[in-house]
Amino acid sequence: MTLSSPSPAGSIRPAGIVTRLAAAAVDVAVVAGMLLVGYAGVAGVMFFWSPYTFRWPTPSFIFSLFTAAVLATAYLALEWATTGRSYGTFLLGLRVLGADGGRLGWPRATLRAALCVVFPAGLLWVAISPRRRSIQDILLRSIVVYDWEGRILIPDRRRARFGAPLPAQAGPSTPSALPQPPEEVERDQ
Amino acid sequence: MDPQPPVSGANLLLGAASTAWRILWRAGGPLRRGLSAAGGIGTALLATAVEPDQQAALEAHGRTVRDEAGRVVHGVLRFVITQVVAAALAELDLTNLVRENVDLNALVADVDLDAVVARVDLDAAVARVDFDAAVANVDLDAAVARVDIDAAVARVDLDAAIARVDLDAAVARVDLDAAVKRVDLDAAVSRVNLDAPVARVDLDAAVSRVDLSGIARTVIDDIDLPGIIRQSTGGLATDAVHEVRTQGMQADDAVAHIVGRLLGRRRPDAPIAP
Repeated sequence: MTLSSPSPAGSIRPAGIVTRLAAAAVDVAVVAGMLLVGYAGVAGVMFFWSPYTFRWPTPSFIFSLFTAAVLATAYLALEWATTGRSYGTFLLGLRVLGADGGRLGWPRATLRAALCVVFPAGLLWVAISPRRRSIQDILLRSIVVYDWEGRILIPDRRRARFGAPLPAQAGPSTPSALPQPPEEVERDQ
Repeated sequence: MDPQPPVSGANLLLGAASTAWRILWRAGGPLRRGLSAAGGIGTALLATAVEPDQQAALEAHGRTVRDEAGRVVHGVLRFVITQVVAAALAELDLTNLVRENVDLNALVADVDLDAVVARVDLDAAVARVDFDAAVANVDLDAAVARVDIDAAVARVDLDAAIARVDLDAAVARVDLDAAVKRVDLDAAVSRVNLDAPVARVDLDAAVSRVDLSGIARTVIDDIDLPGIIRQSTGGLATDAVHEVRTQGMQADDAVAHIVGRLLGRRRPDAPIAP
């Protein structure tokens, strides 16, 4: 095992529990930030709509929880279906792929996002699973792998086969080949 | 009656001798005349008895004899006079005599020294002087030690002297580069007290004349500050991300190893994805 080589040539290593929990924590923070921004936006709109009668909105807990769940599901589904990596997975150098190495696709990404939001404890199975798969991964045949350089995503599923040589993974990761921002990853649908 | 003067023996002898000589001279008058007549007679007899050519030979021989006799007498007199003069000089102190009896000042006053000097060939005289030897004998140190240089310099009009000096031409001949090369500038500067002149400088006035804002603008324009900030922050972020990922992957493997051992797996490492 070579710790400094996250993606050995010709193979892809699934990510472990620590990095995936960390990525999930980052994503939770991102969603919380989005909620705050949304709350401020709503309050701003309300203030400009009726400054004299303005009061800070006080949504109920249930409403807030529901909004957060919807926002998180939408956010994760969008990221996983397009680039395969949310901000948390990008930061930790991970990527969510289908078991065949291709993109998840919108249905599976949305389902996986909803399952992660509803049952986040399923992620803990990664620590026990010999193949480092969460409950969601097992149910939806997905996998989360190390992808520091952000080049694993292969649009054409027919070319994606685990164990097959991948041109972008020919050598160990180096600081000069660190991950690019998600915006620079191919986004063709 | 007048008293008789004292009788001098010398005068008495001299008067007696002179009187005796006069008597003898008068008494010898007939003899001298007889001899002269005899001479004349002898001459006449010879003139008649001897042939003319023999007379001439005799006359020449007589002249020769007389000449030789004159030379002998002349030589004798010269010897006598020389001896007499030498004896006299030996006895006399001529220098003292001249000093006592001659008025040298009066004599020199009458001498035309100008004319004398005019006749002197000074060039030739000077040419014969060995100046080197003369100077070698001079104790210049002692001579200079006796000179009051301060007083001499005080009498010199240095301004006038310097005014006549062509300093430009003099400086043009000076090899300033070579001179400066020999100067130990470091040592010279180390002796300079820079604090004093700097303390007199009005730095505030100097700084107020500097266009600091213009300089700052130029510097900022030349520096790609946003680019530098981007590179530095980007580099920091890249390093931080790399560190987080490395640590996370190591933690993943560590957890997998622990769980694998707890569950009794042979291969605790995560397998390659199918």
